[in-house]
Amino acid sequence: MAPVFRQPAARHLPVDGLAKAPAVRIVNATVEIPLRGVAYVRGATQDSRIHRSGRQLVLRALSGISLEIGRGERVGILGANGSGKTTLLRLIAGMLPASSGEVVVTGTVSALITIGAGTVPALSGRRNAELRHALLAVRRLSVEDYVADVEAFAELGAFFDLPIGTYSPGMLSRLQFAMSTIEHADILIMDEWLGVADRAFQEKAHHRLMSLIERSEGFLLASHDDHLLRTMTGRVITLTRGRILGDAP
Amino acid sequence: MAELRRSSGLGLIAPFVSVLAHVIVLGSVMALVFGEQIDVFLPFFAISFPVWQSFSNFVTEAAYANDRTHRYLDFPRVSGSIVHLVAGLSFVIALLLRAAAALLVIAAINPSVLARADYPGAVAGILLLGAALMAWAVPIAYLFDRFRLLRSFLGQMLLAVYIITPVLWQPDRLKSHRWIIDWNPMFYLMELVRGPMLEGRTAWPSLAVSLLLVVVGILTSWLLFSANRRLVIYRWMA
Repeated sequence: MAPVFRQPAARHLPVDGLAKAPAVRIVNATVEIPLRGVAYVRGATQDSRIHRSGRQLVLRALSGISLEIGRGERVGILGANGSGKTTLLRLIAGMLPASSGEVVVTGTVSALITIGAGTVPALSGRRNAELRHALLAVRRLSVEDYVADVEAFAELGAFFDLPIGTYSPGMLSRLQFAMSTIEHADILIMDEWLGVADRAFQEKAHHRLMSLIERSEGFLLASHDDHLLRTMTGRVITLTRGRILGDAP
Repeated sequence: MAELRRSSGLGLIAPFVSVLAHVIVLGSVMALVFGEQIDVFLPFFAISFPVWQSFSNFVTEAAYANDRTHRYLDFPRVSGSIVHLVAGLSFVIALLLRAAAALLVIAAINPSVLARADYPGAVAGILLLGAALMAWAVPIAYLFDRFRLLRSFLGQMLLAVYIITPVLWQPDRLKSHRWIIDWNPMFYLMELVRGPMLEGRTAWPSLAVSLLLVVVGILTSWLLFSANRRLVIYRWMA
């Protein structure tokens, strides 16, 4: 594979002693994703984001992104499908490495990108909550307190001790939401606003999300919804084909 | 454990029951086929088969490990190597359960074998075997992910190793083609457990080859780690 994929993921630094440092600083970052298993087809490289590296087709999902997000900023990321919104969030969350450039994140990150990740259908809601406590490396709460909080918030009753394979989609989303939104972090990242379960739960979930946003020092929300972003954030970055097209309050 | 219960309906008892049934049925049939004394062959097979089954399960899990590791990318604070650690722990637990079934069969057929066995040596052998497999987990994951076509042949490859390794037949049957055994690393790994249980001691060549396999495995893992990391991050698109 080409050496461009050998860069490390984002550097995540603790806040201690760096209180004045920006929450996120990205300098000329490019993310290239090898399209493994995709054979070269005539015309594929007509899209300027796709190029060949040896025999491999490579998608340049983000190209030369430079961005600084200060402490306390609420930032929206707007763009069409395939514009690179989720890739940018994953880059900041440390889930994807940059092929070149530098990404420095100061503070802890909570990424609500795929809230269903890490769940095991054969395990009960309770056991999944215990597992999630370990996967998220939650330090603020003991595993007992964390599970009790999930149980109380998700309101699944006796189903909490049944395998989650028995849950309806709504029940599953309640559990996943409850597990993902307990611990606040310095920087909160969301890929689209989370709309879960029935109306009563949605209201509760909305309040919890708002509380998480208020307690965070940096908030990034990616969405197609211009109105939502204008309401929830104070600055909107527009992405087009992996490049920043606009950055305005 | 929960996944095992879901797929087999038996949970932790599955490895125990599986070995019990295989050793009694297959062991008796093979003793008849090879004209072996049943009280000699069954203890040999009862020790060999659980080791083989655990080895083959571990290799199969390692071959698909990158798929599972990918699921943990959403949790950057957790190392992807946790998948291999879990596989290693499952290997030891399942092997101990299988060994319990084997001991039950041996106790019924030829209890004098159990009286002669070196149990601490056998446990040490299981741990060293586990270490050797863990050392090769990353190279196996890399190989079967980088060349995913190989996954289609994994069953056949394991069957070939099974046939050329003394599991179903005793090593002294191949006196004229001893090199098949001498150059087979799986034989030495298997002897780590079989030696203490059947001979009451661990053979030095077995120990030396196994330690060498651990060292080479760790070195290969170190060399392939970055390349394998890229395979985990960027999965097959088509």
